[in-house]
Amino acid sequence: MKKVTILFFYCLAVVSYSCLEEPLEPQLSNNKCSIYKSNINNTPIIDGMEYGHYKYNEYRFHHYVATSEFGIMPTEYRQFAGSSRDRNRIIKLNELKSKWGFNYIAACIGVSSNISAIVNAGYPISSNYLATGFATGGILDRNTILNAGNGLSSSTYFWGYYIDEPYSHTGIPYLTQADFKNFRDFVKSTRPNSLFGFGETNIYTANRYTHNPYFWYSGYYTNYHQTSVDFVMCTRYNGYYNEDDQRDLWSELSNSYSAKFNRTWISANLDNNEFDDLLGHAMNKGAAPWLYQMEDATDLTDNVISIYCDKAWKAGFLDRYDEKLEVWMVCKLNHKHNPNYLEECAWQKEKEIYLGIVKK
Amino acid sequence: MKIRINYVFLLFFLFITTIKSQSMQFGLRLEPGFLITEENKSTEISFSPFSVYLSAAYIPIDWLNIEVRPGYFAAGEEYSGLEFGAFCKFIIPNTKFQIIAGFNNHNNTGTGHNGGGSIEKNILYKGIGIGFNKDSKLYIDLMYYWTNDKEFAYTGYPISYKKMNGILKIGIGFAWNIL
Repeated sequence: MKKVTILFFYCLAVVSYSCLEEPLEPQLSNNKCSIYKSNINNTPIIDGMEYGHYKYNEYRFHHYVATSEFGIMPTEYRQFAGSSRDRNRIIKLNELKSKWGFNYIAACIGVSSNISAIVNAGYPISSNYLATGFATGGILDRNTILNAGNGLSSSTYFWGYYIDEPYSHTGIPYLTQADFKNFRDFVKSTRPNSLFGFGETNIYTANRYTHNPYFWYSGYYTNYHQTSVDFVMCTRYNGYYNEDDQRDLWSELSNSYSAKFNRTWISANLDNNEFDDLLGHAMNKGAAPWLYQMEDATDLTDNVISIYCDKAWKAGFLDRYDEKLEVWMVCKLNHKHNPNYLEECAWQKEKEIYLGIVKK
Repeated sequence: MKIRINYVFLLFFLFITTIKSQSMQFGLRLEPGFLITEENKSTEISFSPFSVYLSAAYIPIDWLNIEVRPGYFAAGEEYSGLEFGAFCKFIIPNTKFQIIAGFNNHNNTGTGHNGGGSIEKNILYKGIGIGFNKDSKLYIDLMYYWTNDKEFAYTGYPISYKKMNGILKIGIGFAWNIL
């Protein structure tokens, strides 16, 4: 009698369990039967295999488009791609705009092949190309401003001319206030439509050229060669107290230069843990971010650019465009399995249908 | 072999703690230094007066002084950071002079800007020098430090590295017996 009772309850349990509708994987459906039935009419039985399908939309990153000024000083690998005639380097240069969304470039003026490659990559000279030089004077000297030897006509002007760290560049003599002013006056007289700017590490080294009087260590000094510039950028990637974050420097430069502090550098290597904070702060200050990559001799930086652009998209400097794909999955279910249990399927990707580029 | 050496040291310290002449000193040091650096095969000597150290010394026997020195040394943006040194001073009998040898670890602060920067790293120096005790409280010493791990800063585009070939420090110390 006891065995009969146990057998009865066992049968009851089996029947109850078989009537339960177990949830399938969320992307499939609310219940397996509906999925199965929805596909069963269209799914032939081939060689004893039953086929079921489901589909979903997948989005894959395709490219960014800048919503405002979004610049980069690329590595040598990309910057001097033209003269190298290396196809891979040209592709990397072209990606800066077509894939990553940088709509402004800072680059040495260099030779005509480099300039052509940069222009072909989407940076017109007079509207999106910032000609850069360093305080050595050899790279951005007067002949360079006059396009002597670079293949451009003498009347061609760049969007802007930029001197990097006229005071703080280590290892070379700094530019005197007089030299700086003379150079600026030369640029503005020969290229009146171009911007002229410079980058310095903090307000003291920057004010040294632009303010009168200027504060230096313990007191104020007269600047006999006060120079007016169109913009100032911050070139230092640590704060005053050598903390990682340089936002305190940006705030001081912003207070000192107001609207002239409207673009600033972010280092690809030294700031890569702070992209979020810095891009957010740049947005708040109304300063365009420029990614500084000239520390790298080679170009193994796609990963850094990818992270940087993702943060810039989230901060509002970029729009992101994705490929939209319809992905079809197929279920291969063997007859040995109970056809009511589609979770036992071995789902495999059957095909992808390209639906176009969409803004994310 | 290493364990044996440790035992020897242990026995040595057990022995010396029984000696009555042992004492401890606590003090303050200033160590302005001349930095001998090299970049692109060009040597430069610069001077920095900015340094301060605490000093704790244990004198187990008359001719030996074991000293530790935590402190801070600053020589501009490229070379500055916390330091910790451990030294032995061997007092030359019947004179006020000492021969000093030891190690000093410099924890260089990392900074960076477009035109250059410093490398964040620990640099272990070996040091040797000579000291002079003016009296029981005031002493001066001259130490020379060198390291195999020389790169401490870089210059931005075009990139080159700065090397620390040596540091010559003049130490001025004040010490008080606390034991």
